Amino acid sequence: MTRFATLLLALAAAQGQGKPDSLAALRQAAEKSAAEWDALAKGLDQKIEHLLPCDPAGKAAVEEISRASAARLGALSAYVKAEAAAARENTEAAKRALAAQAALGGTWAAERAESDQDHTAIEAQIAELKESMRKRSALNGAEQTLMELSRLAKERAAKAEEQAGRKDVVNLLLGDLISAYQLRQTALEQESALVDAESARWSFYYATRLARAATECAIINGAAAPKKREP
Amino acid sequence: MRRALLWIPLLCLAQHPRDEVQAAYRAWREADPNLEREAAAGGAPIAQRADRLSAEAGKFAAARKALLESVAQDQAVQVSLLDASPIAPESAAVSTVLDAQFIAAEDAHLTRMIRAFAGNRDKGIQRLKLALEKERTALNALSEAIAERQKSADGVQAASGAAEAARAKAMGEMRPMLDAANEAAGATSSEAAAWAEYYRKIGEGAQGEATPITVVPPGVQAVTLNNPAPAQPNVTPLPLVRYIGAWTYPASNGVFHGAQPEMVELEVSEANGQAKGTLTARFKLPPGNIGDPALRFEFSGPLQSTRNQVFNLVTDNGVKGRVELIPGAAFNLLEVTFQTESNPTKIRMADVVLVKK
Repeated sequence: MTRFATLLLALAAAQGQGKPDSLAALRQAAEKSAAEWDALAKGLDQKIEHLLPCDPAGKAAVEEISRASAARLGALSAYVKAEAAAARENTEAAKRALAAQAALGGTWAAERAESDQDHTAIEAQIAELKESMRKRSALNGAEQTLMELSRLAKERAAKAEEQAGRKDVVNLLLGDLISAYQLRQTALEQESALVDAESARWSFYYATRLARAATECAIINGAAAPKKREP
Repeated sequence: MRRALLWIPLLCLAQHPRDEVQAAYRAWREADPNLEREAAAGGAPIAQRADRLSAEAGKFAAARKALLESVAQDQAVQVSLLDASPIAPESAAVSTVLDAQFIAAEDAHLTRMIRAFAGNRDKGIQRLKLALEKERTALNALSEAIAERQKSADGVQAASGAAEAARAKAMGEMRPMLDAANEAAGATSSEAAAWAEYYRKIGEGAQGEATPITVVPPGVQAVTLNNPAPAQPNVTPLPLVRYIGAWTYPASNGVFHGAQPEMVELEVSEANGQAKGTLTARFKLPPGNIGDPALRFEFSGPLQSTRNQVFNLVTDNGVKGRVELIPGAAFNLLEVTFQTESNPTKIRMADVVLVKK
């Protein structure tokens, strides 16, 4: 049962390790589309300054950059959302680690208690063996080995105690980590909402940009129209 | 019974993953609790009993190793969960620098145009100015949104830094726990080997006639030191190192007969076949005894061609007596027995086994 649970956790960890790849792809896509938008935005004025106000190429240029802007913000939104989702998974993983540490800390406490008991039992064996050695000196070699085993049991108890003592520190640090992950998760979710809101504002801005181009064209057409009627 | 009581705390701690280990431990410890006490009897039965316990110890070690490996595995999963989630630095795509630059440039451009058209009463120009102002309003709204998002991105960056620092700290404590679990699992094998060795030695020690620690077992060869320096001819049948040097009574589990020592220090030197030594001791006196627990004497004399070396001694207060140095079964053991003439308030005789310092 324990092995099965361990396997599941290992699979979960493996899946978790797969996430950064998709996150990296989204990050790359966001950076690429941001660079594309930036290039178009910087070149817009140069592209349209020699065009007449009603030239369809001018409108097309603004529409192209508007689409690039929407694509950029869409990619950015997908990336930030994925980051927020990853942050949520990190929070859950840290919570699972905290729960598992509670059990592991208990294991070390039991290990220490058992090693102490073992050490006491070996000491009793040594005392009895010493009595036997009075009559049979050839048991001396066994006694030396038993004394070494006693030392090992004592050392084992000390090491287990050290690890059991880490439990509180680890719990505290994992608690801090969970809080930090949650704060980051919240910040990313807020950022994601702001990217979506900003996206609408960019759309509106480009709509006003197109409206200005239409106005410029209308003004020119309004001035040119009477001329057409002259002949 | 006393030993049985020792297992009670273990039973109280028993939980599912440890049940198998504890059952194996009990099976081992309860199989033959009197082996050490009865080992002096010797013979094949002792060797057989030791073999059986060796097998039980092996089962316990295997169960314990499996448990510790499973603990290490669980800990490794926890560590890998946190290890797999490092926070990458924020992407450049999140930055609003380009947006801000774009907005600033467009805003300046629109402002110039709007200013240029200010005061122009042409209707077409008025319409264009209105369109430009709408565009600038949209740009301003965008500027606010971008500033807000930048603030939020800064918050994410700060939270990421804090989370990464917290993760590193937690990993710093969890990795040693993983190392300790792996080390403990590994150490189980060497302990198991030591137990097998112990029971083998019990079996070996049980062979043949019983011999006290002060008697050389028949057939035992004198040990030859592999010393490249030319050795001086020995008078004694055993190497001089078995007698000379600094010796002490162990702080725990010391062997003695008669008066119980609290501390014994012995220094023995040799020159030209003559031994010289000093013994300083303090004994535990029985309750009500108002005697002097401390004793110090010196001894000297020629080394003899016998295993046990006997010398005349003189105590600090001038009392004479006799001391015998008896090499133990092991290289580092020396049994010392002494007896003095009438020595009021002082310990007159004792027999202790000392360990070489």
